[in-house]
Formats: sequence, C-alpha cells, structure tokens
Amino acid sequence: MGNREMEKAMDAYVPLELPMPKAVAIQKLLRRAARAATPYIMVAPAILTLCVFVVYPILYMVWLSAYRWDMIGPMVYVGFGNFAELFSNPDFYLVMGNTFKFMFLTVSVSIVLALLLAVYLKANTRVNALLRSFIFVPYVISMVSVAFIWAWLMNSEYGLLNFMLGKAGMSGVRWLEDAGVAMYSMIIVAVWKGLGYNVIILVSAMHAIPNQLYEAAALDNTRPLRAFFRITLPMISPTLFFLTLMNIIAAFKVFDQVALMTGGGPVNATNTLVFDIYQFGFKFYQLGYASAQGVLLMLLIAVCTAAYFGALSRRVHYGGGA
Amino acid sequence: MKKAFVLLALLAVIASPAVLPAAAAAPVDLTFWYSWTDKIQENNINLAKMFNETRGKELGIRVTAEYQGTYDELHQKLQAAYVAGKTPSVTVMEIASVRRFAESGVIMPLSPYIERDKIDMDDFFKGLLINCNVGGTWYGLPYLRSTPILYMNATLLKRAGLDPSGPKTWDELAEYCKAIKEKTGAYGITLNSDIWIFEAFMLENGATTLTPDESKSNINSPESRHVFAFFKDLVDKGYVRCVAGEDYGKVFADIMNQKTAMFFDSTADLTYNLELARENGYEINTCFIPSKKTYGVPTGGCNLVLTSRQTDRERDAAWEFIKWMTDSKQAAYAHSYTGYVATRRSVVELPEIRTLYKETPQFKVALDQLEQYGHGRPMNPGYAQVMVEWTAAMDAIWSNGADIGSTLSAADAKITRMNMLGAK
Repeated sequence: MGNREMEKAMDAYVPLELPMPKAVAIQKLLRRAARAATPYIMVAPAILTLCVFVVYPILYMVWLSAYRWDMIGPMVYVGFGNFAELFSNPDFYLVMGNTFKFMFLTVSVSIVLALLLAVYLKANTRVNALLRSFIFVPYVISMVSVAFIWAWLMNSEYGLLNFMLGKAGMSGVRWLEDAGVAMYSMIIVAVWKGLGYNVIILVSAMHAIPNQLYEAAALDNTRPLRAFFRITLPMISPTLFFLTLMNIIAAFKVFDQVALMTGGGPVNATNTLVFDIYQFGFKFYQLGYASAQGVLLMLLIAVCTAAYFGALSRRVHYGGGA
Repeated sequence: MKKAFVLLALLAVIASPAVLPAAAAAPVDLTFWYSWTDKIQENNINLAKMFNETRGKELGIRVTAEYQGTYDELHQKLQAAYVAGKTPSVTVMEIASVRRFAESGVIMPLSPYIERDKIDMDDFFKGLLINCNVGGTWYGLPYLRSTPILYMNATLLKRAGLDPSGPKTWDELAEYCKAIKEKTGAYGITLNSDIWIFEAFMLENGATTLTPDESKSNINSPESRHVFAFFKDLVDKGYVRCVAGEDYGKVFADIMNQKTAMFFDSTADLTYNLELARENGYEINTCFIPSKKTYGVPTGGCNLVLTSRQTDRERDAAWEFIKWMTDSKQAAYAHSYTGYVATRRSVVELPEIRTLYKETPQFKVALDQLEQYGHGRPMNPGYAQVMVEWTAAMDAIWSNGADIGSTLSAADAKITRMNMLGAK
C-alpha cells in the first residue's frame, strides 16, 4: 500500500499540464527509468549467482549430453547418441532399479517409523525433549562419519552387529559384502540418518493441531487410534506430503554413503544413479554419457517437484485461523 | 622492493659475469603437484625444499609443492587446469594415465631433454620404464614406484610348522593356506578384489589382463579362469577370505588382528607393515608373489611429467627439477623415506642404501622381484572401465559364490558390447 502512495507523491512532484519544458520531461523520464530499474538492480546479485552456479551448469550439462567428450580431447557431436547408448545399456536399468528400490524402501520405512515415533514423542515431557534431541543427532553428523561408523558396525568379522547376532546365537550377516544384502544395509543407514529430521518436523506439525479437536474427540469417547486417523493424520497431511517429497528427492540423490561404504559394489548391487554419474564422469571420463544421466536425474526430480507444487495448489487447508 | 631487487640483480651481473643472465634477472617460479599425505607428502615437501636450497638456487629456480589429493583427484584437477589454461609445471602422474594425458597433449615429450642431457635410461629398472613411454617417446621418468609383494606373518607360519621364508609356487601357496587354517585357525590369505594384484596373477600365468595391443580384455581367457578357479577353491574350503570391493582397509583389520597369515600388498606399505607388526607383536616377512608358470608383477605408483602449456624458460626450468628429483641421490632419499622401490641401479650402489638393506632385508626382496620380473600396466584410457568390471567379477566369484564360466563370459561380452577399449 505504502508503495502506491509514494508513487503518487513522486508523480505529483512534476505537474502533469502540457506543454512541459524539455529539461523537466527528460528528468521525469530518467526518474521513471531509475524507479523501474531499482528492483532489478536489487535482485541482480542473487540472480547472477543463481545463473552462474545453477542455470549455467544445467544448460551446460544439457548441451554436453549431446557430445562425446573426455574433458581434454576434442568434442564430438553425437546428438541423442548418449541417450540411445544409455537406454540400450542393461546396466542402466540395473542402476535405475537400485535407485528406485533404495528410494522406495528408505522413504516408506523412514516416514512410517517417523510417524510412530512422533506420536510417541509429541507429549511435552522432559524425557521426550531429551529423546527428541537424541534422535536428531544422526541428522547433524556428517555423512562421512556416519558411513565410516556403520562400515565398522557392519564389518562381517569384527563388527558390533555380528557380535551381537553371535551372542544371540544367530549366524553373522555379511552386511556389505553379500550382493543380496548390501542394498538393505544401505537403506538401514539412510533411514537411521534421516529419521530424526522427519520426527522433529512431524512432532512440530502435531503440536500445531488445535487441542480443542482432541478435547472434543475425548468428550465423544473416541478411541486413540480413531483420533489418530481422523484428526492427527489429516491435520498433518500437508507436512507429511512435503516430507515425503523431500525424502524422495534426497534418496534419488544418494551418493556419499554409496561411495564411502561400498563403492557401488558388490557386483553393482548398490550402484545408484548419482554414483554411476560420478563413475562415468570422473573415473571413465565419459562426460557426455554422464551428462545424459544427469539430465535424466534432473527430469526425475523435476517431476517430483512439479507433483509437489501441483498438489500444493490443490490441497485442502485444515485448521489454523491464518 | 622491486627496485632493490633490480639493483641487486644488476650488481650480481656486474660482479660475476659468469652467472647465467636469465637466472640473475628473475628466478623462475614453478609449481609442482603431488598426491597423498603422511610420509609421501613429507618426502615431496622435503625434496622440493632441498632443491630450492641447492640446485634451484644455482639455477634461479624456485619450486612450490602443492598437495592435490589422491591420484584420481590430481588427474581431475590437472584436466580442469588444462582447460582453464593454468597447469602446474611439473606433476606426479599415476602410471596407467600417462598415455591418456600424452595423447591429448597435456604433457609433453621428455625425449629431447633426455637426449640433450644424455640421461642414462638404462640405469632405471626396465619394468619401471614401460609406463614412461608412449609410442616410442619418453613422457615421464620413474619417481615413486612400487610393486606388489607377498607379506607373511612369520610368527603364524612358524606356529603352523611352515618355512617362514614363504611359498615359492602356487601349489605351495595352497598347501600353506591349508596348513595355516588347520593348525592356527587363521586364514591363509586375506585378499580383496584388487585388480593390481590380479595383474600379477595373470603375469605369472604368462598372460596379461589386456591383449598386447590393449584392444581386448583377457577376462574370459583360460589363464583368467584358472586364477579365478584357484582362489575360489581356496575360498570355498575356508582357507582364504576375500573381502568384496577395492578398498584395502578391510584387509588390514585381518592383518592387525593376526586373523590372516599372508596378504598381498604394495612395497610402498613396507615401512607401515613393519611398524604394525612391531606394535602388535608379530614378525613380518616378505617374498616374491609365488610363481605359476613364472614369477611376475606389475609396477605401480607415479612418474614425474612435464606439462605442455608453459613458456620455454619455465619448461627448461621444470626439466631441471625433474632431472634432479629422479637422480640417484634423491631417488635414494625417496626410497628409504617412503618404502617405494629404488628406481635406478645406481641407487642400490649407494652406501646408505646398502646399509638399509642389511638392516631391513625385506626391502631387498622387493628390489630383486622388480629387477627380474617387473612389468608395466595397461595404458588404454578405457582400462578404468574394464577394471571396474574385473573388480565386480572378483566380488561375484570370490565373495558371493557366483559361477566362474557364466560370470566371466558375461563380463567379457559387456566389455566388448560397450566398446570399453575402443577409441572413444
């Protein structure tokens, strides 16, 4: 509102009757131009940074995906050749399968567990406050440390996990060496690492639910399970939806954990999309092929984001006076 | 400051007309890139410092040594630097990558310099020179080089009633593994899916991982199948443990805990392994990797190379640095400081090295093996991709019980189908 008043005041400075002296007209024009340019100048640094570090690399990647290039030799134009190669490579489907398996299991297990824990931890007791910060710790630790610690825990000969299994009279598991198990080990670590964040967000979403709803439910003698499905779940559904999408996107991008714990092995069992991009780009120096995979990853994430915003615009708003 | 310097330079020229005018006018500043930390880093920094204080001072050359991470990271940065037009003057380069950088013009031939200064190339051990040469032209000089050898926990061997000097043949190796497992409970060997060691196994069967022209892989050859079968048999019997993956760290856990009696490792780790043995109370021995049809090992490590995008003056100065670094005295320093092999025959003649061998005979084993049975490594740029397939095959067969025939023929078909070794 204030903006318009100011505009009015500024316009009033130059009387609008004609004819106008030339100098005044130019002055007015300049002032108008300056006023129009101001916001653009203000956002220029941010836009410039965005262009240099986000837009340009994306365009460059798309452009690169049409070439065959090893970083130092000549660039050979191949059009959609890299994509053709990608889709005719059986390994690519294996990698995509791994990526989707990792994504689906990590996200579903993590969200369900987080929901259960959040229901338990939402009561504001002192113990819960402590537990909430404990459960958040893994999220804060750097993935490098987490990967090393878990690699030790999961060591088949000396690891704590197998030691405990042994004490319980069970035979050990070759967590990271058995091609049939390694992916599940990766998922365990990813869930452990991300769980705290999900719990905290869900707990705060639950705290935002007006208490009258529960009081009303209690008056009606509603069973807790019913209250959960009829009140809690619908009320936190926007948050839940947001969390799920963020988790999906993060899972698609998994890299450091794979690189540090298994190197994509054994026998490609944990080779996921971003690790494969890294491998083709910086180990095999096939920048074009790696870029084609990058374009695909970008599209995948774009679809998720579009789904999110699409749902956001249509979603039902519950509660909250705002 | 600048004025004072010019004045000094002028004075120097007037005072001693014999001094090189270029050297007096302004010192040449060079950058030298290296990989790895710890002992290796100290060695690189120390040598650069020594150069600046002696030969560099004479010639007016000042070298700054810069750490650049692992070999892979260094190579990536070198490419980026080349595209950006700002490469270091001298860098270490992992030996299998020399061809790629030579063919793309990032590094330049050393042959003219070698001829001009009459460098005695025969003084270097032959096995080390293969990966310095691309198409008959010298592109590098051997610097921090290594070979794999067989390390043995002599304490465990004695307990199993075995000769602690080690097995000589593959049959003996299998017998050793059996005896160790049965008498001590430890594994005969712990190994990981390491292509470098596999290259040694292939050489001992009279073969190589790639065909001589490097256009095809030998992964499904009878020799390769034999190697896979030999160790799979030992793994299946429980005498040998294979840790999946190329990460060597997991093998060390077995070594330290004396859960394994033998392991294959680089000579570069000799000092470390001796220390580890002392701390954990066992004796360590080394011997040649046992022979099948013959003995044979690949070499590894890095060469020193000269980059192409610099002025003639910088290039000449950089060559002086490479020449000094690879000379006998400095090679001896690097050898005893790090445990990398002696690169030249003249190094072995030096009194300090003779003393070293008398005190630590394990060093000598590596040298003898290198001198008689050292080979090069494939240099095809596509080998990086083939190595990943080979590692996966080892993971599948040795630690996941996969069938040898079908795994190897599938890997071979994939290498061919994806044209990994073809011109890209």
